[in-house]
Amino acid sequence: MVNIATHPNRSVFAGDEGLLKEHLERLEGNRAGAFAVHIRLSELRSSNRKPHFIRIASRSFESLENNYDAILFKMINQDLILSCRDVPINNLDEAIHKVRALFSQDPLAVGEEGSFDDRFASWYDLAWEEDFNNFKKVVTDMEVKAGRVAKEAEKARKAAKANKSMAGEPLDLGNLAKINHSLQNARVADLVCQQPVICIGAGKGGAVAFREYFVSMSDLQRRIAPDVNLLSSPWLFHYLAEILDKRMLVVVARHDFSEPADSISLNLNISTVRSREFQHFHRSIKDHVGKLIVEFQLTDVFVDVDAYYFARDMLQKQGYRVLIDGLTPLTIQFFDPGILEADFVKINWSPEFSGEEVQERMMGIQAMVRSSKQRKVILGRVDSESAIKSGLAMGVQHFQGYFVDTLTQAMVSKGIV
Amino acid sequence: MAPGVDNKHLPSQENLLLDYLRRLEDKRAGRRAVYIMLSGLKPFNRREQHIRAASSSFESLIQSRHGQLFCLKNSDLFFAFKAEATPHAEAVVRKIRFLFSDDPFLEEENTDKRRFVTWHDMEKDYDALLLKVQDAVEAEHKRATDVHSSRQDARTTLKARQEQGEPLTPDILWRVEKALGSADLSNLVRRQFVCSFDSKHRPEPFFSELFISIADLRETVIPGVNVTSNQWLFQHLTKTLDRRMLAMLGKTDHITISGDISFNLNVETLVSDEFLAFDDNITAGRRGTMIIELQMMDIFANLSAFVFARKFVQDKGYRVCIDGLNRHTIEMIGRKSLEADILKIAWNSELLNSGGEVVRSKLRRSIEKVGKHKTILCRVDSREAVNFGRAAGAMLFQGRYIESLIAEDNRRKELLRLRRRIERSRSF
Repeated sequence: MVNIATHPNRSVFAGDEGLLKEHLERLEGNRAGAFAVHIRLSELRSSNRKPHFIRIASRSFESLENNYDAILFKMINQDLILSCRDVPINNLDEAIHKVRALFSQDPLAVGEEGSFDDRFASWYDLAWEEDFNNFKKVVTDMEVKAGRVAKEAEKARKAAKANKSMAGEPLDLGNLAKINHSLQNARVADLVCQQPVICIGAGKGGAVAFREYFVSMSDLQRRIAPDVNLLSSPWLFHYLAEILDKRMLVVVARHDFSEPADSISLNLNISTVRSREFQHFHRSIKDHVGKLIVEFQLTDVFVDVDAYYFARDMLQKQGYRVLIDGLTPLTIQFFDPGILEADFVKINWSPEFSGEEVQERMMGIQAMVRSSKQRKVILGRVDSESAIKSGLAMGVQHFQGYFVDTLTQAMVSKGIV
Repeated sequence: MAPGVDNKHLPSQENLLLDYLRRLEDKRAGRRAVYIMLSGLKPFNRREQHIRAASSSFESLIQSRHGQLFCLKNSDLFFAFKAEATPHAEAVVRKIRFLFSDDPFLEEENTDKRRFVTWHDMEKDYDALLLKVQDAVEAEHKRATDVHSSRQDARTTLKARQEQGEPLTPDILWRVEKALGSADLSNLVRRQFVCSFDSKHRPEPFFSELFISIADLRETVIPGVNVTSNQWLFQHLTKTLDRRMLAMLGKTDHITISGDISFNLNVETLVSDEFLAFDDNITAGRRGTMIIELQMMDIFANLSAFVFARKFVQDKGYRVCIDGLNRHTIEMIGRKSLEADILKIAWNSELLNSGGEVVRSKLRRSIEKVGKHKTILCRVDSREAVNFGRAAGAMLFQGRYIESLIAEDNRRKELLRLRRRIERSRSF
């Protein structure tokens, strides 16, 4: 968060870190009534650290800046530092409290306000020698790091540009029609990948429960629109996904289900299930519906819950199983997916959800696993052993993700699976 | 008032009026006409029931065969009548004028060149009138042919239309999006009230929702295309509508609105620069009168942004309303109900058909759980809907049926006021 607009003559790397250091040097001779507050937004979870969130948070201090001797510095790592002189603490408390409330779902803001172990905000009484020196050290460290961070950011930007995987122009209405056309005519069969979901029983080894079939988006993008980021607009992407569904159905219908292979799952839009293409699909795999699991995205379910219930009833009656995908530990805090009465629920794991602060969230999953005897909970996007461990501790037995891929490969090579 | 797609092939009122004038050419002596420019009124005075109230005032004159009324596409009225009915026609026009007396257009009438009411003598003004009507017909015709010439495959088009308008394609939406960027949408803004009922079953406004009429947008910007036919493309379009709505609300002189208001936004919009700029320009007091409506689907698609944005706008003083709930989703989000201030459950006649008592008691429990003072039954289109809602514990209602009750109540008040006036003038 370098405030380039206000300091047009400064280089990006100097940033607010440099300005703050200069400010501190000027302050050194007259420290009466001066103090500083360091708000560590850099320690927020990445989903809460989006630039516009930080921008909104920093606006909470605007009235202090306008009415008192207070200056806000926005650090490159997204931390905020407020340097004040004789600003009424109550007013400042109020502003900080507001920012903390904005991030109330974040473990960082959970710590008790003003307590010793509160990581959210640290106060420095600059009139006091020791605090002044500590603060100066913090600022100097930040300045050194800032140069490095900026360099890394530049490197990452260049790397992203070179590796065009999911970069590129945003998807918009101007290019959607063309992409739509390419998608309808492009070959997709060779882009279909699969990822196993494994079941780990108590005391037993693992076994593949089913395999999810999907189209690799980065490969698809390279083929139909190398310059456009297909995932940049979620709503327009859903539009493309409906078309992709129909292409996928044709591919999967050719799958040889007569082999005693694993069950497979397929991500579909709810509207697809009611389409003519799905009827064709159903006719061609009729004898094997028991091996098929249809995955629906939670967002799609909320578009029209009645349509979901209709589709679920229809599928289950025909012998398919239904899975709800796209949940996160945060989703579960706000609604109980049990009411959707699906056969499987997939919750996406994320490393931010490990750690002690989020016990409450984990309890939510645990309660869900216990309450749904028939329903199977899958922990998705599992990328480490510790994720599987936490999952098992919560009673989860089904896992999917990069780590599971490696695990399965190892099991295959040892002949376990 | 705008005729729908279905009667496009019927002669338009403009055409009928032209035909009428032509037939009148040699019988124009002793005939007069009055042109009432309802199109000059502010949008909130130009809702369907207003136009209906104004046009129905001529009913007794029409029935007694003293005149003929034409309702033009732009909402303007043209009434042609026999000279002997002049006093009666004048009384009707006075009444209409009275109905809209609080509209800025009538207040500025003396300084503005455009007049709300213009009287014509058919004999003297015939040629000028004919010209004026011909222009109107031409404009209407041009609009219709523009639509037609852009269509190649008439059969496919008609077929799709029969199935609720031409489907939305990315290309069409792109055109709409571009058109929206520059169009003045203030005349597409509609207002619908959320009401409770007093002891005499009369509606009492709680707040009103402002929205851009999608049906009229479709007619204005891209006639015959069903803008809502693809959920995802439509959802994308709402981002543009959000920006236009904020721009309009930001200009206080543009829409003069009384009472608390609500409007729909995307979660993404709440954390955008456009919203911050809007928020900067309105006074702290006004924030308290505003309710931001968010869609359930949008919330769950951006949950962490929602959690952040809800807190942010509530802190600022806005209230947050969750729109688009039904009997299932209200149960899903439970007692905490996403910590919103207000919830809207959509009425659907299915509620009556699918299980009756069971559904009602389930809904009743949900409403009790979240609080009946913060739950609105919306899309109410019949008396049965209100009865069902009341039995399920709802106290707040919104929808077409409520609008008709308001119009009825306004007519009653209007008559009452008129009667008092007459009585007062008699007593002098």
